[in-house]
Amino acid sequence: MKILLLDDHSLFSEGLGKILKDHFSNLALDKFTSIKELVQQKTDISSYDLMISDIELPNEDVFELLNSVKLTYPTTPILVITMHNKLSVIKKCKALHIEGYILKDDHDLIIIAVEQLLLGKEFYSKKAKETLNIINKGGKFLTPKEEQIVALIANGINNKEIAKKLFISYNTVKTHRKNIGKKLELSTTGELIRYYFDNYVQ
Amino acid sequence: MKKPLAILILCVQSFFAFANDTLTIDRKEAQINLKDYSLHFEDTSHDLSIDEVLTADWNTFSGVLAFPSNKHVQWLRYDITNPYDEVLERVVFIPYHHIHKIDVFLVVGSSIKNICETGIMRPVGNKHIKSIGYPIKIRLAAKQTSSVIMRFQHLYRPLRATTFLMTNDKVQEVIQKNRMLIWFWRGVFLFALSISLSLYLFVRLKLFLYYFFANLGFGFFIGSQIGDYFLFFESDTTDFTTIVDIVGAFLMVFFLPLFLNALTPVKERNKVLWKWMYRFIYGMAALILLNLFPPVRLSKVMYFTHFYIMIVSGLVLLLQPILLIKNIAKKDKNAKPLFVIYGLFVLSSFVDVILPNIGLLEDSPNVFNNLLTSSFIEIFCFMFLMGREALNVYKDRTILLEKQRGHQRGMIVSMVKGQEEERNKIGRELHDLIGANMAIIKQKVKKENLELYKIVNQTIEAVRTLSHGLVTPMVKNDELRDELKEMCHLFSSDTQEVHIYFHKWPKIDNIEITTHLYRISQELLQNAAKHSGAKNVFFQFIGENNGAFSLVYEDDGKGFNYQNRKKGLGLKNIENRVTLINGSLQIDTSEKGKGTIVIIEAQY
Repeated sequence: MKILLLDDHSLFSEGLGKILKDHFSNLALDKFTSIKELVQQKTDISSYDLMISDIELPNEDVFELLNSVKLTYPTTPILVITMHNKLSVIKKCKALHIEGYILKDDHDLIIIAVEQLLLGKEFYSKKAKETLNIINKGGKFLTPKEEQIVALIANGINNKEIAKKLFISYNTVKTHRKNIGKKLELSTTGELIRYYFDNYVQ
Repeated sequence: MKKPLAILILCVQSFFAFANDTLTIDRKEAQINLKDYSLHFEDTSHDLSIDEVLTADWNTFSGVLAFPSNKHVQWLRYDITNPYDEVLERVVFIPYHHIHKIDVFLVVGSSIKNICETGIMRPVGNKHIKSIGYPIKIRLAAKQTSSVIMRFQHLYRPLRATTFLMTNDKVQEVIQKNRMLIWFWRGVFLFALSISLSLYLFVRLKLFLYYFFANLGFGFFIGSQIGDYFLFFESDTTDFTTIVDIVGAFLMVFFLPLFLNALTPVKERNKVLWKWMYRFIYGMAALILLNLFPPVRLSKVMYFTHFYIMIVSGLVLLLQPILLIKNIAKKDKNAKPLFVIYGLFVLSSFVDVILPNIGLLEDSPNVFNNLLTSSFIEIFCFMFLMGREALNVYKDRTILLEKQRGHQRGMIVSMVKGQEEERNKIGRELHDLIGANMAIIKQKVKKENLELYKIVNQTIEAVRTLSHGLVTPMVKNDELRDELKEMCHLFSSDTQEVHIYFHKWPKIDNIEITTHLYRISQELLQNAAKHSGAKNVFFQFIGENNGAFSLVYEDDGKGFNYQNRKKGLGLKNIENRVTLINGSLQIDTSEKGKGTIVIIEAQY
């Protein structure tokens, strides 16, 4: 079994290599610290069963490399192992159809991840999945302040009085009202009042 | 302005007119210029009585009744025949006001009557009419020739003794007309003065101050001509009015070149000439100071002073258009219009003073018409020029302000950029070095050592969060949305929930704007976490079809006093970044615990 490891932190790669070798006895592990090195040695990526890579190397665009690897050798699974637990990064990996994603401090998951990937499965660590889930989180439609304003408008109170009642400035009321209209796609006060009675008054 | 020209021209005698000896009056004629009928006698001994003068040798006086500056007493005589069977009442009208002493005698046969003693050195009560000339009533006996004999005393000042014989109605009409014009002039003049002074006070442009003083000088001169100052004295026995007159001339001559120079660079082009010109002008000031003493003023020094002022001011005023031609050649700004206006001004003076003096223009009892007209021309034209100049200065100032703003913006940019770079550097180091090393440490730590393992885990998380906050995410389009969502997620805790909502949020591909928005949001969330004590934070990102967007932050925390806030980095940072995206920032908060609303609106 051949694994390619791309990481600029030699200490970390060494440790990782040790864990892997402890587990897989027939492992051939080739370590690279930069894309430059990888290219200079005319490495044939297709000859590896798995590629493990950090996504950040000094002054090098790893995503570009991963993208081209994915395009040229779609069958070689890639496992990203990084310090990053960022939505944008994880999302990008997802978009590139990268099979695995674990955090460096989750190195105890490395064995499972490698095994899963070698089986042709996908492995994103729990933390990464949680981060990815943030995308689906949505906010409330109207904020409490906006709800208050809608209620006051529905009761026939004008902007100036609303400002006085809610201890906010006239301009803020105006901006809020504009935004409420935009969000609800209502252009007239009449529609807004109807909306209020439809949604808030039983 | 007029004065030097007037003085200059007073020396010129005209050969165009021929004097008749006797005037036979026509009842229908309302106004006769007595110039053509005058006999003249100059009393060099200064103390001849009317009896002695009557038998003296009178000359026919041809031309303009103008005498150069000297001490001599001038006698003028008009023989007027009344051919009718009735007594005719007429008025001898002397339109110039500033003559020192005038004595009028009416001689019929052997009877000599002193009918009037007037002039500025005589008490006010004696003046027939206040301001605007001297109308002297005479009665011409039926079928007789009467002689009107006038004695003019005008110590060391040039004298112009224009005289008209008019009916009473005509005189009243002329005086009314003059008075109306003079009041109108006074209004315009004071308006120009106050406008230029207040413009100077507001704009602080020296131009207006120069104009103010130059115009004031002109005003002094005209005022003394129309007799405005004599009203302040019971009688001006020491000829104080002449001081007003020459101070007026001095102000004109001193400030007019400065005024022109403020509009177009005259001094720069003629440095040596300029220096000498002002040396002579300072000489004027010295003479004026000398003349402040009445004994000096009534002596021959006054004669010299008038002569000096005449020469210097004449030269200075004629020099200006010549200097302006040089500027026109060099294509300086304002040079052309200045030359035209100045020329118009000089031309109007020419029409007013020179033409009547050489007899090409009929003298008129409305002597001030032309003088005031040229004042109007001068005021309007120069005001126009100055207005234009002020507008230019205003424009320049706007450009300068714009530049300053740009400079300020540049400073903010570099400040924010520096901050950004510093943060990124620290963030990267933290993440790449410490974070990665911690991961290695974690590898080495045996799971059995649970306590150490936990600490290492916590440290890794802390480093991760910290570096997250420090490193700028280079995001655009939809990535910003993800980053913001993630950030809100990270800032949410058990005590504070951050809600985020996007509505028609545009894809912004300008990394600068997205970075600023990211940092602003981060700053807001940090403040919320640290200071607000809010349970809920609402973040809304709302886009509009026209490229405008707004970021609305709301919390239900305790608020703060925006006016007296501590000048912390946080809000200042937000303000700077809002400036950099050309946005508007509105913060609505108070210490009443009604929460805080921050609205940022901008365009991408």
